This record gives sequence, structure tokens and C-alpha cells, in this order.
Amino acid sequence: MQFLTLLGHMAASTGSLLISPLAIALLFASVFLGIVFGALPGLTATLGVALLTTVTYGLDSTLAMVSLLGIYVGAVYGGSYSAVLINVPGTPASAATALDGYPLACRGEAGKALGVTTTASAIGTVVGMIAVIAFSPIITRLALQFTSFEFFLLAFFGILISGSLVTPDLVLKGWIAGFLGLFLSLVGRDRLQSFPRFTFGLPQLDSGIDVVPILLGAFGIPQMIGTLKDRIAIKEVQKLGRILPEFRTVLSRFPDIVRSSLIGVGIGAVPGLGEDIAAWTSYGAAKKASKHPEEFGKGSYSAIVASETANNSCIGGALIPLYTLGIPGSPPAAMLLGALMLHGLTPGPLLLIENPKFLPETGAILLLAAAAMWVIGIFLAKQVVKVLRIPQPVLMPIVGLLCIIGSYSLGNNIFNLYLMVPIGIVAYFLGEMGYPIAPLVIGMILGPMADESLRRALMVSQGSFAPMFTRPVSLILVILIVLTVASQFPFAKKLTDRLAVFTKKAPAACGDGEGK
Amino acid sequence: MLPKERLRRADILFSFLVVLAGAAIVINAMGFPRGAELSGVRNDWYVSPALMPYVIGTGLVLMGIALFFTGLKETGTQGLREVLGSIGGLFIRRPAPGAGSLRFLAVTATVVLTVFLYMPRVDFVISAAFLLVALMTMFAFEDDALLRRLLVLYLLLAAPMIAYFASGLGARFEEAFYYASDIPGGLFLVLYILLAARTAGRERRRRFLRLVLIAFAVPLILVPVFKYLLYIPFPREGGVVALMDYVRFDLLDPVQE
Repeated sequence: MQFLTLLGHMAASTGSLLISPLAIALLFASVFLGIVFGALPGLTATLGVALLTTVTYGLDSTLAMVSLLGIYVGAVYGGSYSAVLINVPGTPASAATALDGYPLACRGEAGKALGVTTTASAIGTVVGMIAVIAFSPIITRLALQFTSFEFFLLAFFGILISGSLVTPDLVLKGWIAGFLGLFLSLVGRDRLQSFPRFTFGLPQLDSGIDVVPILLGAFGIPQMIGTLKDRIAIKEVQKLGRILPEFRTVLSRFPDIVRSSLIGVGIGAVPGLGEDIAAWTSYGAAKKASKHPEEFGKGSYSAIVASETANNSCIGGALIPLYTLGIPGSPPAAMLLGALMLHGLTPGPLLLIENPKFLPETGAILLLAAAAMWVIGIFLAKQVVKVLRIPQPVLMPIVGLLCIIGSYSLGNNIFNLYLMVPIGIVAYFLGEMGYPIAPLVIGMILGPMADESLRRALMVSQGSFAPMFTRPVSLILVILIVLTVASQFPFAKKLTDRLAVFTKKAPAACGDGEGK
Repeated sequence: MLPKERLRRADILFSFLVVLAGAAIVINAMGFPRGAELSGVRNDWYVSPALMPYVIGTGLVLMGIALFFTGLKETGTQGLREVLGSIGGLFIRRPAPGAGSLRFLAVTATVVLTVFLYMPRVDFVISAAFLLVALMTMFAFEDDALLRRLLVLYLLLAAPMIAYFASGLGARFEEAFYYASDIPGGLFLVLYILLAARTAGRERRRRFLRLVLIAFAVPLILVPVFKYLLYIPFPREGGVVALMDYVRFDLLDPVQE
């Protein structure tokens, strides 16, 4: 019932946005900019949202959300252009698309492939929007029952799970990155007693470290250094051809769409994972479910439908924990969190209660962004492709300059610039050594919540940790944390191997296994 | 990312840093109030601002140790010896940087000098154009020998600027004339363009000119967009931005003034 009421409010919000020329102009401009950002290898959705956050500071919160969600949706989809046309994923989220999109382009079907990715991405975004509208009120109600212990454990679990799943090398490195982010969040006066921590006598650090310069430094500077240092050049762009919506091709894969959308929403809702993991998981699931798995990797439309639906539905999923718990579901959502706070909106259980219009507005913006993305994708694709021809040595310095302006513009503080550059250089080295940056950012964002919640919880319990084990949600989170940590110990790995052997032997015992 | 074998050696080296960082956090947090009274409020151990730093510091120490043993397990004691040797080698021999290191140095040096030297003191348009001209000309021709020469040129031109500001001359001239620092900034930018064009050679001159034009066009487009449309100021608004303000407010729209 509440869902239908929210859909009604969403329809009203959609109407009011549609009659505002400024909102529509901003929407199309930000979606187009997002597609360009996504299409250009090296520029990610996170960087796009981060750069635009500083620009939207002067706008009211609705228009700011129009711009930010517009660029987010556009950038996640835009990655498919370079994935299909030059075999280089524009964003990590479109890496799975490149596996099958590029072979299709080589067969002269680039236009059809992009038509499929456009329609699949639009459907994914709409499914994500429905998920936000449907699940956010339920989780908000649940979150209102949470005490500080639950919030501390949620933040801690978010950092650990993000570190575990996004690391390109050892899980340990993901956790170290998360803890370094937690440490950065502690710099400044603590919020309970106003005691200066790790400020080293610098008054500029008293108010803490802003997230935006750190994000711009951690995502923008390493990209610039890496692209210029490794001379990453754009390969020959495949012929595009005519782009049609390809409804029949997409809708004939209805089971793939449903499965991928659900995977996207589910993965998006897990703190800190993001669109790339959603796309890969969905790609794997589609391959497993396919009657022709041998076609995957050689130019399968089911594969690109799966990855593109999942990465765009992940956007809605990532907004659910952001709006209801104050925990971002993906790195771009982490940037949105910073943006919301800049506009005086504090993500968490009270956000939707104090701002009842916010959720329907988000639904309306996502719906319109999906429509704008589809229109641009079908009618302006050839203009977007032209951007792919900009040489990286020209583009990357401009991105660096935008990072400088973006960092400074937040509070007009030159100290933010002084922080951004060393953080960027350190992030580059961390990336080279296999440390993921997303957990660092998640740690930095969730740090204040973890710190305050732990101390408040212990204040209430007079220093006792017992409520952590007596409250059901707390206990589940404790078990999840213990399992996440224990899974990395050798004894747990041996145990899983033994269980795997045991389960493998089972069919042999039944007489129909490999043992014969 | 580094190849796996080098990665594990880097892990051993980085594990020392992680342990040290964790220990430093714990030691620093020991100075925070614990179980004492602060601003009239009784501060029990569990309210202490040191609580989370202890958790993070201890966590980092433990994870650093685990990382050390993971690296050691895969590279053996040979890996550890090589890591320790490489640390010692840093103080003894300094091999000439390879092409990759040179390119890394070129990007970081340009960005660091722009942010720490030019942006806070020289007009935004000049600083931004200098950054773009330097990076674009160094990297667009995909010639490491040229990159090396242009990097040396860029650093040589930055040296007098550092001396100018470090000696206090910059501040003194600025007291007399607010836009004083833009003069050496602009002069060195022009010098860089002229000398770099000569270094690049005649056959590349056309492309070089195009890059210079782009480098100037970008800040000249960004200033009106950010300043007049979005009301976002710049780190240093010197002579060029003031001139643009004059055009915007006095010539084009005098009512706003």
C-alpha cells in the first residue's frame, strides 16, 4: 500500500520536474556529461559525481540530485561505448560488457550491440528505481530499531566486506585500505568531546579532512598518473553503424533481465561493492544459466544484456543503504553521501522521515535519467563516439585541472589542494601494490559513524559489550564479521577445502559421479 | 599493478610501514584523555577519543604482521634479503630513472609544483595554462628523450620561482603591487613555450602550437563557467582574472557592478 502511495508521489514529482525547463536541461546535460565520462577510459562514474558535486553546491537540493544522479546513471552506461567500440572498458562496470561487445563490433554489429546496451541499461535503471522505492521504507523502519551497537557493527562490516570483495590481490590489503580510511576519518576534533586527534597542531585539520578532496585525489590523480605514465592510448574505434532500440533482442532475454536486475540490486545494497562486481556476477550467472555458454566471450547478446542490466540496476541498489542507513552501496554512492551532506541532508534512518518528498523525487529523477540516457544513447551516440578520439595526453591534464578546481571550490580552501595531491600520489602507489581505493573511501566515510556509535553504545551499556551478543541484528552482524575475518585464516580455508572434497565425493557414492 | 613476484616484495616492504603506522597511531592515542575529567565531564575509558584509534592502530599492526608473513611465505628469506638490500641500496646507489619512472616524475613534479608553487601565488589562468602546456607538450609527442629535456626545462624555470617566493621577494613586491607575482609567472610560461617549441623541433611545431592554443583556451573557458555561472572562485585571482572581471562586469554588464 505504501509502495503505491510512493509511486503516486513519484508520478507527481516526475510531473513537476518535467514542467521545469531548468531541471530537464540539467538532466540531459548531466546524463550526456556522464556518458562522456563513462565512455572515456580513465574517467569513472565516481570521479564524475565527485567533480559535479562541487559544481552543484550553489543549486537547491532537488536540482543538485538531478545533476548528480544524472551523471551517475549516464557514466555507468557510458562505459559500454568504449567497451564495445575499442575493447577498453570506459569504467570498471563495463569490463564484462567488453568481453562480448567488442567481438560483436568486430562482426560489424556495433550499432546493434550499443542499441542492446542502451535499452538494457535503461531497464536496469528503472528496476533499480523500483527497488529503492519498494525497499527503502522497509529498511528505514528496521533501521529505526537499531541502536548504536548495530550502527557500529554495520559500519565495521561495510568496511570489511568492501575490503574483501573489491580487492584485486589479497583480502588483507582491502582491509588495510579500509583501516587507513578509518584513520583518515579520525583526523580533527572528535564529535563527542571536541578533542583534537592527529591534527599535529595544524588548525586546518581541526574540522577534519573533507571527503571530496580525498575522493578527487584518490580517484583522479592516480588515473592521470597511470594513463600518462603507461601511455594508455585509445585503439582504433570500430565502425558504429545505425543504432536502434533493439527491444526484441532485449525482451527476448526476459529471464536474463530479471536475474541480472535482482543481482544488480542485491549487490548494490551491500556496502561498498559497486557496479563492476554486479556486472561480473551477473555475467557469470547468465553464462551458467545459458543454453549456449560456449557463445559467451565470442559475442553473445545475452552476456551484454546481463552485464549492462546489472550495472545500472546496481545504482538503485546502492542508494538503498545510503538513504536508510547512511552507508553507501558503491563508490559513486559514497560521493553522493558527501553531496547530500553539503546540501544539509544527513543520510540515515531519519532522512526519509524528515524529508518525505526525497524518496519519490529520487524515483522520479532515476526514471527521467533512464529516459534521458535512452534518448541520448539512441539519437546522439555518434556525437559521444567523437569524444573517444580525444588523445589522452590532452584529456588527462584537463582532468587534473578540474580536480584542482573541484578540491579548492569546496570551502575555497587551499589546504584541500595540499591534501589532494599527496593523497593522490599515495593512492597511485597503493593501487600499484594491489590495494583497492574503494574501501579506503568507504572507511573514511563510515569512520565517524563507527567511532561515535561504538562510544555511544558503550556509554549506554556502561562499558559492557554484552548487548552486542544479546540483540538479534547485532548478533547476526557479529557472526558475519567473524565469518568474514575467519574465512581468511588457513584453518578456514582447509575446512572449506575438506567440505568441497566431501561434497564432490557425494555424487560418486550415489553412483552417477565422476568417480566411475 | 606490479607483477606478482615484485608485488610480494613490495608487500614485505609495505608491511613495515603498516606496522609502524599502526604503532604510531596507538602511541599518539596514548596522549588522549582516558578515564579523566574533560570539560567537567567524567570521561570513562569507553568514552575516550582514544578508543577508536586503539582499535585501528592495533588492527593495522596485526594486519601488517600478517602481510609480512604472507609476503615472506611466497618469496622466502631471499625476498626479505632483497627487500632489505633495496632499502640499503637507496642510500648507496641511485640508478638513472627508467622511461616509466621519468614519466611518473614528470606528471608528479608538474602537478606538485602547480599546486604548491603556482596556484596559491600566481593568477589561475597563468598557473592552469602552465600546467596544461607543460603536461601536454611533454606527453603528446610520445618521445621520452623530448620529455626528459622538457622536464628539465620546466624544473629549471621553476627553480627561480621557488627562490623568488622563498626569499620573501614575492610577498614584498605583492605588497606594493598585488599582481606582481603574475609577471614572473607569465614570463616563465612564455619562456617555457618558446624554449620548448625550439626543443621540440620544426617538424612538430604545428602540433605544438595547437597544444599551446588548447592549453590557453581551457582556462579561458573554465574561468567564465566557474566564476560567473557557478560563482566558484579560484585559488588566486590575479591580473588575468581581474581583466576578465573588468570585461564581464564593467564592459559587458555594468549594472551588476
